[in-house]
Amino acid sequence: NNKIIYLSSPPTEQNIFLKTTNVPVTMKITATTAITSFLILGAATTIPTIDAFAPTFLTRISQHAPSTSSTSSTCLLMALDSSMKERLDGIRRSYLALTERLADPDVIGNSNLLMQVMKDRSQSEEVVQAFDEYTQFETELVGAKELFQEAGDDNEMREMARSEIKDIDAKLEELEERIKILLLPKDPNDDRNCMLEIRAGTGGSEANIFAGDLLDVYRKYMTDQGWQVTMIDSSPGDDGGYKNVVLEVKGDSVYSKLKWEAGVHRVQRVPATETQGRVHTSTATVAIMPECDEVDIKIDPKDIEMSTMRSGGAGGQNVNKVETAVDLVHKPTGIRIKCTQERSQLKNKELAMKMLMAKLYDIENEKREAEERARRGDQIGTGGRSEKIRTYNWKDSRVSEHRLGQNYPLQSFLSGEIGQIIDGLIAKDQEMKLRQLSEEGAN
Amino acid sequence: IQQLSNQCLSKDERDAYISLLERRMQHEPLQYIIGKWDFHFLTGLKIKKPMLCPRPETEELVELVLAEVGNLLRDWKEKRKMRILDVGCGTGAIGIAIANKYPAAVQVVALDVLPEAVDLSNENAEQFLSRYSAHGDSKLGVKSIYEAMLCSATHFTNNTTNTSRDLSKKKYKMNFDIVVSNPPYIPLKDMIDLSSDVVEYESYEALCGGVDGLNVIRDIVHRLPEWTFSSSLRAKHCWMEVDESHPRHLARWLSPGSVEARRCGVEYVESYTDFCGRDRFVKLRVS
Repeated sequence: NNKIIYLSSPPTEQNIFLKTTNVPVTMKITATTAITSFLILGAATTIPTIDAFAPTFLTRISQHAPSTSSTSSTCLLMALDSSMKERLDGIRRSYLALTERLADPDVIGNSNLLMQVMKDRSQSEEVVQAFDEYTQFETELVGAKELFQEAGDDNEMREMARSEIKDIDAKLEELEERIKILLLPKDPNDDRNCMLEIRAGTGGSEANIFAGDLLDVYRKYMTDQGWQVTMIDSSPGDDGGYKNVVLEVKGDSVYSKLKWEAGVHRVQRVPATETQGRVHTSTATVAIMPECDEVDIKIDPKDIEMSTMRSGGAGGQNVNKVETAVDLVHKPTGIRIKCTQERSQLKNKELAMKMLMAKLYDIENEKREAEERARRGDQIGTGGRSEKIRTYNWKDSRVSEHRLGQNYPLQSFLSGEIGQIIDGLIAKDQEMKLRQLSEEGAN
Repeated sequence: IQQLSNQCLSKDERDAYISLLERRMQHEPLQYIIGKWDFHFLTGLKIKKPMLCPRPETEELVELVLAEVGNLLRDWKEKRKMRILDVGCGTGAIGIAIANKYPAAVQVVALDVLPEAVDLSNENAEQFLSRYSAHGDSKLGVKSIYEAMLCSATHFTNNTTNTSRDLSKKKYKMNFDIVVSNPPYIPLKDMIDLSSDVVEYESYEALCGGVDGLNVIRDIVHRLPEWTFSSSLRAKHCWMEVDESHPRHLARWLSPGSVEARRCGVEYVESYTDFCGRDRFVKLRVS
């Protein structure tokens, strides 16, 4: 039922208006020069008359497509409009400028500057390459359409040209999708390292053991990813597992992947401590805090009350106790951090401050995200702290990811293969952002 | 740690462990039993009795001195390295921690009256600082960054020679830019209150500073002008960790403009508290 109409006599942009008569139309502008094509969805009983349309109309995307499935890419078909192309041109220009800078001897001599330039450049590399491919295909399409035109009555030629046009169209579509995703606003914290905290929730010993199980799973995943993991603080549970455990995770794109783990995890199983074989439900809360430095969070030393094992009684040379634990209270927020990890008290102090900064930064992020979530309605967020994100059911051997509405095999999860779930969440987030963008565009 | 907890010990390992436990039951300091501990950013500093086990407060002393070193380096116009004197170095903790942060900019000379302390300090310096001396003054090795010597505060003059084998007849320039010390400072009357893990194992000389605890501190003050003698107008400071009772005594004794301050050539500048809120550190200036 979908038709593609080609205008044989190329009109200029200025003198075409498209009158739609209740026909779902998605316009696809493939070349700003010769030929414009219109993809008409659904059964069109009347072919819309084509008079002229102004450039502004060209950039508007009308999405009246019957939505059979929300993921159907033809329904979300948005061409790269001229403002987007301008933006891409700008990105390409800066990319080339940065590439030139890499050859600058001043830059080469300064290793910090060199790393910064390389980092900035690599961030745009993917989208520039995709855009280059895109413009190349656009040129090829022009050629193919010219061929089609010149074919005249030669059916064989027309068929060849037509199938080539179809191929290129498909490739252009794919590239458009990719470019759009690459242009989506990125979470500024995505590239950061982070702290992962697992806290046992309701369920007593069983919750502690479950927290320990989650820790094992995450550890396996982190090793697979090649990330560096350091345990910062832990309070073991009496019967196993942990009441609370904090890890520092360093590596590539750590936050962008782990952020999806934040929230309340629920487990349904017969606990190891259960004598009568009843199934219990317990919870553990995972918090993911992007690492931050003094640029992100300023802490007034006056707001901090620090106590150590040496407070009270004599100190200095008079006492030799090796308890170097540091206890930190941030008075304005009441956040309390205990750090016992290091043998050097100074190092414990620094670690505790690091944790405090991460927590404060996390609170700010959470506030900001909550505001955005409220504004956007039902968007899949990186989870309010108390959002129940997953349920693990031992009897049915299944993990239910509630944000995706999907189940996964429990065994793969327990072996540390959580990549599948994370990829699904990332994909869904991108899809929602794309939809958001198109809705905003239509308004 | 989980893996370790599941291991079974062999008989030898068990016996060794039990003898260590027995030592601890006698209140021997943990640092002596294990033989090392962390101080500042020095992981695994070797510690041997009877040298004083570095305390957490002393990490703050290091931080104070490092702040001054950082400030001085910003306007550093001398062609030579910055020279720092650590009096009563013990394990070497203070001087090595400072050199560890600025190995290219700083040269530390350290003194102690115990030969074991001098040896231990040089040993620790080798462990932590030799990685920095690979290039440049390779003939001297670590000694170009850190050198400990057997000498008391009073006897350290420009005529002092190092009597150790490899550096015999070496003399020391008395143009130090910063003097730092964690001298024995416990007043005699407080020595009785010390717990057994301190007083039975750590060296008496490293702890007691005489009746008022100020004996060694006085020795240092009297030597300060000679140690920091130079034509530069830059202020020379002495940083010390002291007993809680000392800052006000020193403030009175070396009050700027007072007769004593002029006689000694040293003025009290200010004191700093440690993280427990106790008056713990003093800053003096050679006037």
